[in-house]
Amino acid sequence: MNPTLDPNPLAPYLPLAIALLLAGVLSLIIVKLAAALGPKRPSSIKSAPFEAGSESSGPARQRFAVKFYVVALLFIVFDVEAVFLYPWAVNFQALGWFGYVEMLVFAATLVVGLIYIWKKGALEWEH
Amino acid sequence: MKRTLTMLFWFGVMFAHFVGIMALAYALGGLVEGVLPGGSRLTNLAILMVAVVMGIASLLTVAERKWSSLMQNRIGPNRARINLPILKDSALVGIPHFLADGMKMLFKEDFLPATANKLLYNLGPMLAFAPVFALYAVVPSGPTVQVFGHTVDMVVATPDFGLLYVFAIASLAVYGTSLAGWSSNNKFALLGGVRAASQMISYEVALGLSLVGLMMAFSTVQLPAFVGNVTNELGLGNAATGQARYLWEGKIGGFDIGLPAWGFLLQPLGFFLFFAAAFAETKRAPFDTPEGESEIIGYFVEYSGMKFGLFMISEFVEIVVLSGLIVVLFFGGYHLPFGGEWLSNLALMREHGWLYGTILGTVFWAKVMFFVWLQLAIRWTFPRFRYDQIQSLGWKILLPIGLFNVFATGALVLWDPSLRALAVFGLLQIGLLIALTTSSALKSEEGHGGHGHGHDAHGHDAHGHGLPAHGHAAHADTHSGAHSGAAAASH
Repeated sequence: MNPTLDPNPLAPYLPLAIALLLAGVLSLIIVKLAAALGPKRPSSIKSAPFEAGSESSGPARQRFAVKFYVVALLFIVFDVEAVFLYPWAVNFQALGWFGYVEMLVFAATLVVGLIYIWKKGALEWEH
Repeated sequence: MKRTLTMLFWFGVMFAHFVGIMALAYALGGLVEGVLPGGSRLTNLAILMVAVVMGIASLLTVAERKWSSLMQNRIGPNRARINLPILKDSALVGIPHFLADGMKMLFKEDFLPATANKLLYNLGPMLAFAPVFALYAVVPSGPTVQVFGHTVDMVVATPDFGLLYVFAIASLAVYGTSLAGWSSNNKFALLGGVRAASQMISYEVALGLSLVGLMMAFSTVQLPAFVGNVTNELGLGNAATGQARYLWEGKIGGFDIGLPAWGFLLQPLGFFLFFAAAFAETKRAPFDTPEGESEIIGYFVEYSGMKFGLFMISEFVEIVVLSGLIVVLFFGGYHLPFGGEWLSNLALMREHGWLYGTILGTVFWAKVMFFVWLQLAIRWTFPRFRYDQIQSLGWKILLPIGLFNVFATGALVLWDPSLRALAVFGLLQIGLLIALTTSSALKSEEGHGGHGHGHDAHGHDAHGHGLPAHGHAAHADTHSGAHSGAAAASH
């Protein structure tokens, strides 16, 4: 596919590492530059949390709706399902109908789970 | 008429830039490759990621406000000037605004909320921006050609795991939003951060499933393999692969024409799932409940100056990267829909690889700009979803459709490995979609007939029809441009 590939197996990852490093460094520079260039005139009013103009009441580290936790739990289940699908999908044509049926069974068990949480009301946000 | 000419002029300027940049990228890559083997990857990094993607993203801050003003029949940003005698005090259709915004944000006070967690507060914008920026490293933007006797390819990195890198790094951006929301120690920021995190992980499931069908059809996760090569590209004697392949091919003289195996034709359902899910990941309208301009306080309410700017620019970088991914995965990458084989086998192209690369690279960026425009148009056309609608769209509609798509695609690929059955199924889906879309358009057309001609100058009047009919009197409200975008209005 790619004639420039070095025989060294790590070679394709070096530009990727540089790109990730550049992304980190660039965002660090921007944040530091913003801190260095702007004026600094702090006041107690300015540094108070801005909560729609009314006075802030207590810290923000409070409880929030359990629905968000439920979504996070469901995400784990179905994202892991998607992760299992990738290696299967890449080797799909080699695995043939046998692999297809195997994965269909696996997905069907998760679909049963989806129907269950749906009927349980875990996906309802109105109440 | 004047507006059309102005737009055509700026389209020309845009394409001239793409041609110039791609020619420069190939020439520089060829030169550097002679000095340092593998060094073209670094010039690609500098040109593609830093110059082009960041350049488009920063220009998009203006383009977004300009498009919104066109669609709402306003003038939009037109105040910033560059004081050079050659420009004759021209507003340059508002383009200098991105410079003014950038300067303003850099020199704004960068305050720290008294009760915020300093480390996490500073980490928030960095983690929102860095992963999105790094995503573009795996997107191939032009063909592999010979320049000055050296092989130059137009991609920063070609790891084996291609798409998995995209999924892995893109999902890191959720840390930026949730850390920003939590560390600000502001109740509204916390709620916004939680909403953002919940929305992003919900749509990640659909995003992951949407591309499985494509992986099955092409048996790969590598982005250059999705794009593929045309037959006998530049005399290398290879067979056509990936999306450069034709499903049905005919020849007119030496000119090849046919139905290319583009991802969109094989996987229209996968495309719409991917587009919807990725659109939700960018947190832009109609999915902008994590932070909705002036209406919904979001996770970065406590951020000022350039730290806020990082959140905003990462949204625009995400638009460009998403468009690039859509083009690479679903719209043939840098390939032409037909005539690719003919073009690559011209004696001129074989002799001058850089010319071939420049042409196809420009084709790639033209496609990318179309999807960038599409995202801007959607952002200013659709009303915002409610939060429960967003969640049920992700879980109750996109997830089941995604699963159905995986197994329907699987059966068709196994039944007919030449992918023709899949393409027929895909064309049926597209036909059904067109039928559904036009039939609903017929029903709603009675409400607003006969005010179409005023919008012709916009070049895409289909979206203009949704506006109220009083839009003909142009509101010369020059200040509204400053309010329309997130950049000028916030903080």
